[in-house]
Amino acid sequence: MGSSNTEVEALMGGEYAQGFVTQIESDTLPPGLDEAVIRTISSRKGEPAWMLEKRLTAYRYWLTMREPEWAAVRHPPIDFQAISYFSSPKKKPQLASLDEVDPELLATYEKLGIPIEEQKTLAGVAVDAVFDSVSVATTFRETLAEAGVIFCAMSEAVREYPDLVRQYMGSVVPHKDNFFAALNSAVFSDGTFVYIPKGVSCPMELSTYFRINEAKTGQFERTLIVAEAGSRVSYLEGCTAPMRDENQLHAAVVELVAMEDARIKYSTVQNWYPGDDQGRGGIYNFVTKRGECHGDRSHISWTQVETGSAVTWKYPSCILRGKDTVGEFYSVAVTKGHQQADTGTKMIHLGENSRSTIVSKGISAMHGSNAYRGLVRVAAKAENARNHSQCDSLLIGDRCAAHTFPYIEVKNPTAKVEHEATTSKVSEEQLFYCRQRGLSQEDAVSMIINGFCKQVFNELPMEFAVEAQKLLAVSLEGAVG
Amino acid sequence: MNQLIRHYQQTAMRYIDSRHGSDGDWLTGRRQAAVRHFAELGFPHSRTEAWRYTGIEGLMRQGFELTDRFDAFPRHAVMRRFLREPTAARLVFVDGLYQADLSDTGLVGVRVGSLREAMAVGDRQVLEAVGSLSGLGDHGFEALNLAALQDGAVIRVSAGVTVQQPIELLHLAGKGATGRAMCPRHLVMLEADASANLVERYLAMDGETAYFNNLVCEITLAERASLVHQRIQQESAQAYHLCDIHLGLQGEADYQGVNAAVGGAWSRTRVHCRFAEPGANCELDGLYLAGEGQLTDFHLDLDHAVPYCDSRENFKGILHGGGKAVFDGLIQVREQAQGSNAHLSNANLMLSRRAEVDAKPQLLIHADDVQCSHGASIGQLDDQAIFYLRSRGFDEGQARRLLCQGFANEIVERFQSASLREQLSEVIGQRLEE
Amino acid sequence: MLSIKHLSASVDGKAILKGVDLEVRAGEVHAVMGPNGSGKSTLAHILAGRDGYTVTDGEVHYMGRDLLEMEIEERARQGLFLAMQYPMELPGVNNMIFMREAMNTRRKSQGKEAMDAVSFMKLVREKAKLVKLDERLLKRSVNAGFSGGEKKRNEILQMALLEPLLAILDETDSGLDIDALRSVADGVNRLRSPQRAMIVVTHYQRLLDYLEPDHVHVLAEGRIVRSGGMELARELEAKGYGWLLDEVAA
Repeated sequence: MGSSNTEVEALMGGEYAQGFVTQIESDTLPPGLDEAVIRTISSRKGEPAWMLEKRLTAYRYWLTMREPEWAAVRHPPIDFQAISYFSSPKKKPQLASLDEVDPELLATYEKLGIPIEEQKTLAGVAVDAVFDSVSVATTFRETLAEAGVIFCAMSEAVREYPDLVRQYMGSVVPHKDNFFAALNSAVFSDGTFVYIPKGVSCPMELSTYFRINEAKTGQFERTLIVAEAGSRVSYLEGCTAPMRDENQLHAAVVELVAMEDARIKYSTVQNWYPGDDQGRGGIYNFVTKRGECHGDRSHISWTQVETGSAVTWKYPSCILRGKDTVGEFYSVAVTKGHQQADTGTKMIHLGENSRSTIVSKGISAMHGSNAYRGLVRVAAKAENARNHSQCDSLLIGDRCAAHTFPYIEVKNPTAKVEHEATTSKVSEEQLFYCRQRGLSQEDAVSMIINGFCKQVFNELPMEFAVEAQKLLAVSLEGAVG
Repeated sequence: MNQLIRHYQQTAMRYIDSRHGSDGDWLTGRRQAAVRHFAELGFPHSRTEAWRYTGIEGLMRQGFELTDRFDAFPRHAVMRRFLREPTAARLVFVDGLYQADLSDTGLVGVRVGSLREAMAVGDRQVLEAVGSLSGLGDHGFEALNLAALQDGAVIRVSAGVTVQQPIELLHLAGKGATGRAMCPRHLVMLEADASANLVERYLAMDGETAYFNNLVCEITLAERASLVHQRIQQESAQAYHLCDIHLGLQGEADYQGVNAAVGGAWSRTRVHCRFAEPGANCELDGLYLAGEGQLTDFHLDLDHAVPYCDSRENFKGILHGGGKAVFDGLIQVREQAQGSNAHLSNANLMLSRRAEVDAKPQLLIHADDVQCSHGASIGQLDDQAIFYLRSRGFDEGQARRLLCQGFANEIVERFQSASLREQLSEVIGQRLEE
Repeated sequence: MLSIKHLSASVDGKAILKGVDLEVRAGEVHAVMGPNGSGKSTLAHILAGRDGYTVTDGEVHYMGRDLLEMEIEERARQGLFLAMQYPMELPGVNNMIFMREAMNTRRKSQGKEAMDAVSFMKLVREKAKLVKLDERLLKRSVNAGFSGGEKKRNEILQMALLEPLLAILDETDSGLDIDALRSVADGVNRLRSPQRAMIVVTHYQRLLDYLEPDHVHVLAEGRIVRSGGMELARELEAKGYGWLLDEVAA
């Protein structure tokens, strides 16, 4: 059986295809962080005074905090003074016209398979492209505006829609929430703002594509989605970065607010550079994502396919405040090489008849380490809350690790909570069965792994389910799905 | 807190001094090391991951004394509590201290006695087994047990000997235990191919006495040895009960433990099983019942350190009144432990608005050729089942009790002793009447 | 087509097969019978190339090639099919897609064009009818949640699609009720052809009643101890294996 491990691992030597660097002149702040840097970021973005105040408050609080140590990940200490907190391509495009976007940038996104020229885009998907610290292009703005949907860069929203931003930013993830959320609140660069008015079903998929290009910079994006009563939106984010020997930090904050009967579907395909086979380089992906099902019958669904990053630390969560609210978390996390992931979710049941579903599929290969960490909390007032959690881990090779840490806290006797978890390897019997039918070892492994992840892929919007399957196949060494 | 630690440290040192001359240098040294270890560890607090749901504030407020004191009971009152079935041997402890006159230890191939006797005669073989699995202790209380250990059972079954009838360990606490912290430690050693059946019970002579039973149990099973271990904790309603059970399993050893925690105001039982050689098997079943003013905690720690061992755990809890339950079940498979099979299940029945359950199963897996799973659930009685029973003429209360009994029976039936099964069913019935 | 010479094999150092000889020609149906633990399934698994067995002696030739040197999938692509006693469940893997992948891999190795989705769907539906497999099961994950009978029908369906040259049926009759047995047997009979050989491994005679094999062999203690025709199978059914084993021992 040892030999088949080696074979499977040999299949896993897939190259990181997005590892190229774009040669573009950048305007990058020197590394280091102090109040002056924050003032510079704020003024470069032309922010109002209240935004600067918010940033400074967060920064001062961050100074009093310590980096968390509880996650099942290990990495050398991060020198926060060695990071540059702002970098933008020099020829700043006029956001109104895509024609003025630097052709180098257009080519970059083209190469990444994310065409941002509207005529070439996937039908029905609007894209916001964030390059290092700034948004470089947002497509289909007019079509969306007709429906009353606001879809723009966060820095623009701060200027154009200050009331909305002031009201909701930090309402779900306050700056005191955790170390990285505080840091983000102080230095966040750009990100996406989405506002769906009452009763509107967003006419197309929205997506943001995050790209880190510059060396020694961190990316600190901030995303806020507000769905008013009865509205619907499906949003997708994708992420890549060049191959570099040093680690780069990505500390994002995502906040979702769903009012009565609103529905938000948030999908992530995260493929940051994972580092090389020796564990050199790669992105530290420390992200705080949280949605509040504020109104009755609101629904928030998180779907993530995590194949990249050297270290991932993220727990997309739902606060189920309204009655009859629904929270969902579907996750596939792949760790190979020396990748480490500590990911999962929190479902906080506060409202009556709130329901949550958790499906987590972890795949660990080579020296990869994958941990599911989750909390299901049913508060005393949450009558008839329901949760079902299924966490499965698949191990490939004998040097990897898979951990499962669910926390279940129930204070209401009408709650029904069920958690199940399994850990096993790709079974020799299944492989034999597929190969007996003529499939190669590679195809058999790929087919079984895709089957293992099926339930999660089913939750992705159609176009991206195919992408995710391909990405999984590539990251599991060229075995085509 | 620091003040409390100093207080206990001083109390422990005084206790060690009071034992001067009865312990021997070796044990005195170990006790002193344990006091130092305790001072380093301090008491667990809510930021200690293993204690995050199990507060010790109530216990700390009591300020229990470390002394050797007990109240004798009338012989007939003690005998009434003996296991009904015939036993191979019996060790009776009153207020934490061994009672030779109530015990029965004549057995061929088995050495049964008290730790205190072993201390008195300086039996190195026995004394060196103290801490062989627990070390100085994983938390402050366990270190305190070693520092101030008073007495306990010593059971050694010789190679190849099979003891058919149960060996009974009976702990009784009465008024004499009031305000005391008792620190018993049991040592159970089965040599190769030996097998035995141990019945261990903690009962109160007086339902309202407040005391702290801080015990440690070290069980070593040599190659192919097998032990059936039936435990019931039914301490007084005001009692604190903390028990750390350490299992060391050699090649192909087989341990079958079944636990019931139905008494005490606050009780925590931790079973730490370390597989030392391949081919061993560990099965743990448990039942807990927590009602008004009770906290019940089970911590399981299955350490698959070597290949080809199996473990299976099944714990069930019923919460009523203001009862609170904590369940933490860790399955750890280390790098070289290929071929491990480990399955854990925890189910909780919540019957009351004020009840609370915190469940935390965990898998920590570092080998790939394994089959591991865990499951946890929290729910209520099935309304349809209640309806069905009522349509057959049962009133709602009866229907609920029947269904609860049914829920618990899966574990109750794991007790081999018929009288223990009866005793438990009776307790469950009474408690659900409340 | 298949030539087994003095095949000996062991599992974990324990000898299971101790010199098996068997010649199978195109168009023939051979039954291999024997008591539990005689090595029947081991033989089937070794022919399909399953890990965990050590061939200690002998050789196997298939279509003129050294079978034991071939990878599992290579054997399959060259037309060797094993209908398994316990077909594996593949959670999340769609049955239809699985079968199409398998069939197109086989077609590719035969130098044929891959079959498009529509024609394939038509073909599968048609074949599924023949083995009386509920069409809904085609859309589910491979064997996941199928009953014992459904799994066996699904195996025969795959066999019908892959059109093997040598089909090995490992205890395909076990766990089937009489109706399921009949439809599985019908399906197998339809696949009989002058180009195709079959080896039917079974403990009981009842499947053989439907299949009427050309040759019946009894495998006991790792060797073929007796060969004959259907009359041998009937004799075994009537008298059990004991007398034969005694005779062999004597």
